[in-house]
Amino acid sequence: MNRRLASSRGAWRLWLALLPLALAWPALRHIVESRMSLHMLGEFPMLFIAGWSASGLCLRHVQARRWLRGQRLLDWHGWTGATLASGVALVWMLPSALDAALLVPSGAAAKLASWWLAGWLLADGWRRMDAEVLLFFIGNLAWMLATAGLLYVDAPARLCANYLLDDQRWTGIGLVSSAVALLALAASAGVRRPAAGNSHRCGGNASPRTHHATMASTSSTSSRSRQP
Amino acid sequence: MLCLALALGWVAGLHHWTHGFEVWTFDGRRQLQLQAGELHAHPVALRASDGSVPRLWGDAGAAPAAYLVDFIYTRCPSVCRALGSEYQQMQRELAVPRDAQQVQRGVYLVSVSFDVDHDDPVQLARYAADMHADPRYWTLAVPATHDGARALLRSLGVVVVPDGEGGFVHNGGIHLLDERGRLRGLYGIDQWPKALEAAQRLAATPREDLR
Repeated sequence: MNRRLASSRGAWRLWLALLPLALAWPALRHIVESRMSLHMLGEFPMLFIAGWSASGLCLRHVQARRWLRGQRLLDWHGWTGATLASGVALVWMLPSALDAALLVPSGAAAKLASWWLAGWLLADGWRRMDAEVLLFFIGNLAWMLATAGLLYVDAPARLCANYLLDDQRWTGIGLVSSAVALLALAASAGVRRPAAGNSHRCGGNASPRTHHATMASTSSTSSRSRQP
Repeated sequence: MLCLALALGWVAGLHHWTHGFEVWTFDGRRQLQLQAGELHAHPVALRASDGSVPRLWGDAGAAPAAYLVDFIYTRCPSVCRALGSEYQQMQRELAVPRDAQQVQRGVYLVSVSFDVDHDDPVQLARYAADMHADPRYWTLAVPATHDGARALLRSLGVVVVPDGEGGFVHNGGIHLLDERGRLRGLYGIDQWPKALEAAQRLAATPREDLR
């Protein structure tokens, strides 16, 4: 039963990891990126989730152990991943960056790579963050989403040359809603989080396979690890 | 340490991209490109409302000239019509005889349609008649090809998006170009007197290489 569950989870991860390839189909990409709401609230999370899923798929292999060790060395307590993800979220909320992602090929490539990398790093890093850092990261992200959302809702004129005013307002509402949802999710995860004494230790000494097996056996929010 | 370096890198990058946390939009960046002299209108083949093939900016050897260019589509019910009205007022100003000190020659009004599929010379002629455009002052034209239209819009940083109701929305306004096609000024629709004044000044300025 567990094997079947793991296999089904692996298949899902594979699908999610490969989802950005759909953007290689110009018609679909045009549909997604021609609306600000779909671009910001659909494509960005999709790229992030793809990186997250790819990390989950790759790092559980024994061959990835050395890579993971190196990654964790650079991503001390998940701080690097959190900083990268915060910066990525901030940059791609700027109207000029959104336009650049549509008008300049290097902007589009930077967008794809940065969201994907943020997902990849956070997939492993968030479990190793201290509770206070994780709370700060989520709070900061929610604050950024809400601020950008309110600016988009209130702006009397188009801020992006590529998008319409109505679309901009709906996107603003979506960003504010995402901020609220993120805070609610964090609060609910905090409530469900067991006492510190029950937390699992899944630090750098654990093999990637062991690490992910442990993660899979616990709730997504219940385990916390510390880098020795 | 890496985290700190990354955070500083983000701040430095953002400072650079937004020009000191001042410029947040595409149009703001476009203004900076204008000030830096980085925007040049791509020389494209045009078809005018009278069926001719006008040769406008882009000629390095041409006499000093100033083109006040706007982008339109003739099916537009709102903004382009408003812009047409501003152009009518500029045309009236240009037609008024002035004293010898004030140069009226060398200032041209140009409305370029980006709706290449729909706006052929016949449609443009109809639009010109509606707007009472005098061909001595006001040229209405459309790029001969889609690629030409794209290249022209792109070169000036004009982005056209469908409005979902069969029309278009675009940034821009009134573009002041010199005889070589360099963008020398950008003005909102309501700033047409300022645009006209700047065009007259530009047309009266002797070319640097002939001084």
